[in-house]
Amino acid sequence: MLVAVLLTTGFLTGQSPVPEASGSTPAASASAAPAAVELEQPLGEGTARARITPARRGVNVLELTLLDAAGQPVRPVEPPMVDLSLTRADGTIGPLRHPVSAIGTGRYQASIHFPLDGRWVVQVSVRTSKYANPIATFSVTIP
Amino acid sequence: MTRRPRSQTGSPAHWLGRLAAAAAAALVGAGTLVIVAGASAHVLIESTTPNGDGTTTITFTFDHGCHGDPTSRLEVRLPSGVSATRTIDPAGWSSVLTAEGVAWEGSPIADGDQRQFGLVTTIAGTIGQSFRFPTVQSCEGGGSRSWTDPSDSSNTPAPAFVATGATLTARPPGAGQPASEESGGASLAQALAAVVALSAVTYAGTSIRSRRRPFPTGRPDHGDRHPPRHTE
Repeated sequence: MLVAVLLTTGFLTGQSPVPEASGSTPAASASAAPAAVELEQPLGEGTARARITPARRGVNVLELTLLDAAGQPVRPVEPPMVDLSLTRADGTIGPLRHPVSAIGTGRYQASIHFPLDGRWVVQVSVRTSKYANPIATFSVTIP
Repeated sequence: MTRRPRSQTGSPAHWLGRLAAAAAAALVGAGTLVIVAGASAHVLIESTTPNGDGTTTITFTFDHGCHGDPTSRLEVRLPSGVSATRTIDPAGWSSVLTAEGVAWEGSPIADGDQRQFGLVTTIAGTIGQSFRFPTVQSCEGGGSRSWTDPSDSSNTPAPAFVATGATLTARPPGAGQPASEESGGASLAQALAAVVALSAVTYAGTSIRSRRRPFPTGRPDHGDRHPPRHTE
């Protein structure tokens, strides 16, 4: 009996209360966290939130959350349209349209490209009804 | 499959293809940034679409051939963390899927025409991780283009996408997922098993004592009632 208690106690106390990461350390994981830019703009009477990762030149991902005036997810009648454009002293680019993928009610993502640095405009057009098509315009500076 | 509409300056794939010589960009006409390099193809990942069942469809696209020649083959290598379960082939094309990647072949696609190539995948990684798919585009006449460089600033970047929480199927160990029973911590199952084992031992010990009581040995009975004393 005593042996069983001692063995059980020894087994449990020998276990770590916190699982050890088999990969990178927490500090390494934190330092590897992707940079992202989060933006919010009016969308008609509602709100459009955008998260751009990693907000650098090259391939990025845009995550969109569309909310109505009551803060509820918007259910557009057709997928939103995302257009990127860049205006610099040496000229303009765009608009470049990117398709979106639905990832939830009122939530979308799009793979987008910032081929040059500068202040890019991301325009999100959302047809919420036959007669309503509000547009949210974000601005993000790509270093 | 969503098609990418063309813009005033051409489709993104077309535009990005010309971006290779961004340094040579010139301001022409009414303030439009024009890339003056010769046209060159880019193979891009147009979209990553979660399917709701743990898989994600990755869509590759291009709209240029090899220096004008039509495309007849597209070979994509899978990066670590990505496994493919099936393909979505454009009309007139077929594919061979292996653990390493996928090779599409079919009727030639003219330079300037756009096609989509779908790959249903499971993706393990971390949010914000960039996944690159080294790709070789082969054309009629024997020409080919390799899109294998790991940098977007390259003239021939490998198609890539940035993962989101919706894109990923699972996270690798140590990436902040809940503790698993394979981890070093004492899991609930382990604790319950220990309690059950302890209860069984206690019950067995009690039963043995009960059976022994009718048969006293005459010796002082303090072995069961009092724990042995430990001496230093």
